[in-house]
Amino acid sequence: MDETQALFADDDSSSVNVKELLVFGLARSRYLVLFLVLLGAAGGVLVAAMEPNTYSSTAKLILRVGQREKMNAEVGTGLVDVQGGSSRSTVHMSDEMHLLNDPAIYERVAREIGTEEVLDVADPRAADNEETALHTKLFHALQARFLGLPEVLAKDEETSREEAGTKRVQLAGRALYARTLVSTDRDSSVITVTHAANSPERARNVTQALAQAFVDRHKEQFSVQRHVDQLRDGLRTVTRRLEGIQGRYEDHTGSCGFFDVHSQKPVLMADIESLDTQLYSSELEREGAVLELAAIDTRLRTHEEYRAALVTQKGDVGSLQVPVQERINLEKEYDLKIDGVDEEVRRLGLESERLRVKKETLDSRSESLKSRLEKQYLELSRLRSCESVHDGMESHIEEERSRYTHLVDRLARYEALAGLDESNLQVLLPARIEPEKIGPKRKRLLMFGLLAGASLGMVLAVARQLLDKRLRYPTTMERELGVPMLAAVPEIKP
Amino acid sequence: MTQPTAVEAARLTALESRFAGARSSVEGLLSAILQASSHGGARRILFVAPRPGDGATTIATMTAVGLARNLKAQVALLELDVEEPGQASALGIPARPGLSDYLDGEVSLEQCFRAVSGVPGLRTCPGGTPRPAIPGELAGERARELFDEISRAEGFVLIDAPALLGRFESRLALEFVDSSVLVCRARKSHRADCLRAVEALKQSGTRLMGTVLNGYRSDLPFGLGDATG
Repeated sequence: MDETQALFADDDSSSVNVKELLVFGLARSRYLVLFLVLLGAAGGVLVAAMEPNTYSSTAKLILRVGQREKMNAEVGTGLVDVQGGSSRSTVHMSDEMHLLNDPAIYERVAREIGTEEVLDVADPRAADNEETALHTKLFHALQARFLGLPEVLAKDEETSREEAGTKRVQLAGRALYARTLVSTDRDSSVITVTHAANSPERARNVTQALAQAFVDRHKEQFSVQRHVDQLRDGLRTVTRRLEGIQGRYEDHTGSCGFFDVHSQKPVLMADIESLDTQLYSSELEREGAVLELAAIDTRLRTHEEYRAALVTQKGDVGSLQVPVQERINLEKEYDLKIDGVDEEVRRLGLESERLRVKKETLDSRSESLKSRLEKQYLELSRLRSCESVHDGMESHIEEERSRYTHLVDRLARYEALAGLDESNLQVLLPARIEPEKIGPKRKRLLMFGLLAGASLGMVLAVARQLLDKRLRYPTTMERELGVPMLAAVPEIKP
Repeated sequence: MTQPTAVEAARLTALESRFAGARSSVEGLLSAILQASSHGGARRILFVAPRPGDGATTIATMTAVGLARNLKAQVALLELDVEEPGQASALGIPARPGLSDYLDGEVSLEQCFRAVSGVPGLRTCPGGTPRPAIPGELAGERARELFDEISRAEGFVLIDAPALLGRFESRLALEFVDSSVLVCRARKSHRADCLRAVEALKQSGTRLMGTVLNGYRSDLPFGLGDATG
């Protein structure tokens, strides 16, 4: 900076710049700023006039998580049971909020209420009566003109609107969604549903319809019916399987010939034991008979030897030098002894014959018993081989029967739950008509328009000042050129 | 002092009415010139603008009339612009004879400098017959005689120079003056042009007395931008 500049330089050039930019800029472009402010205000008024009145209505729902909310697909199969307590499988409020965000709910309500009712703007003139102030009537008329409302809605037009297609329903659903606030407080089971509409009645009706739709949606989502259906399917499957196993069991039983292995086996075992006992006793008796027969044979041989000795002794009597009488007596005595021996031999012969017959009888009986015993052992072997298959099948049947019983029991319980008409999401407080409007905030819109116009004007004014490269004011000329200004001369006409 | 004739009175009235709106504005300029001259300088003052049309001729003429009329000073006013002279028109006097005529040798120096009737003490040499400037003519013999003559003149010598940027004549004239005044036109003169002119004037060695904002019309309310302190 040279001497002259130093001499005349402004000590606070930055503040001068700000002053020039803001104060001079705004002062210079004051008419532009004023115009933009008025334009913004007019825009705010226009927007405010175009915005219909908005009313809200609030309903409250309460969620009481029960058994139905804890069920899942696995529970439906009957393989696992419902988990109680604080398992994560339980529905939480955040999950419920996600569920209630389903666009289908809003589309359903739009269908119920009618897309025309949802999409069309309420006529602000509808509430006007003789007591309505003139300026309010005029404003409503202006609004109606802005909103493009016809003088009278034709009935056929209404009908055609009601026949709107899916796209219109989707549009209406989105419109409902946009005007609805579903919220919940932390650690609370209460869900607040607030809907804003162009009339208090419409706000109440839509809020009520939405609340009911939410309840229905919850009920539908956590319906036990599909679990019941699943259980029925499972029960049918188990029944078919059980019938199949039982059929195979009966077939096997038929092929084995043992209809009741477990009762037949002891009988067979007892029979075998009895036969074995009989055979043993028969064998013992035969053995006795054989021994007895051998003793008789020995005695017979002894008696025959004795008789032969007697006969020999009798023959020796004739050669004895004894009186005849004595000899005769001796011979008689010998004859008597021989007769006695003969008698004994004959008796023993009879006894031996009897014993032989008995032995043969016993032999025959033992053979019979052995044959029967062998047969019973064969039967026992076959029974045992069938028994293992039977046991396996019976175990399977028992298992399937247990499952069947379990399913039947659960089905009964689920059918009882399915029969409940109540949803665990219930309306706590129904929607009410709130006559006080919540919007539009026309003063705010007006202020916003004013501020927007003023802001734009200020920006343009400052920009205009910034972009102006020409000398304009005496006060700024000195600062900008660094030379004192001697005079500011007005325009002199030639 | 003799009473002015009717013609002189009419011209004076015309001049006064023309500059009436700017009278109060020029007072600052006159005060600055007087203050500078009282310190031994600023007798020969160059009025120059960065670009043509910024109003250097008007300001120089108005200052000359003010000095002569209000301060009763002897003032010689020389217009260097021979291409588009405007001083004669501003004073309401015939354009010829003037500087171009003098430089062309058609008139003498005495014929060139004429007293302005109705404004006692004011002599002027307007641009003369309009013609293209001849390069170097202001460095010639006749021009030097002219500058020597006005250097010797009593009172104030005000030189109305053509635009500084793009015309060389003004820079030559700077050799014969001791002070300069830069005239810029409000809402027309670019800041950059004025800054370049200021730099050129400073580099010439003459004293830059200050600037005059010509054609100023405030577009701000409450006198904002008017005051110069």
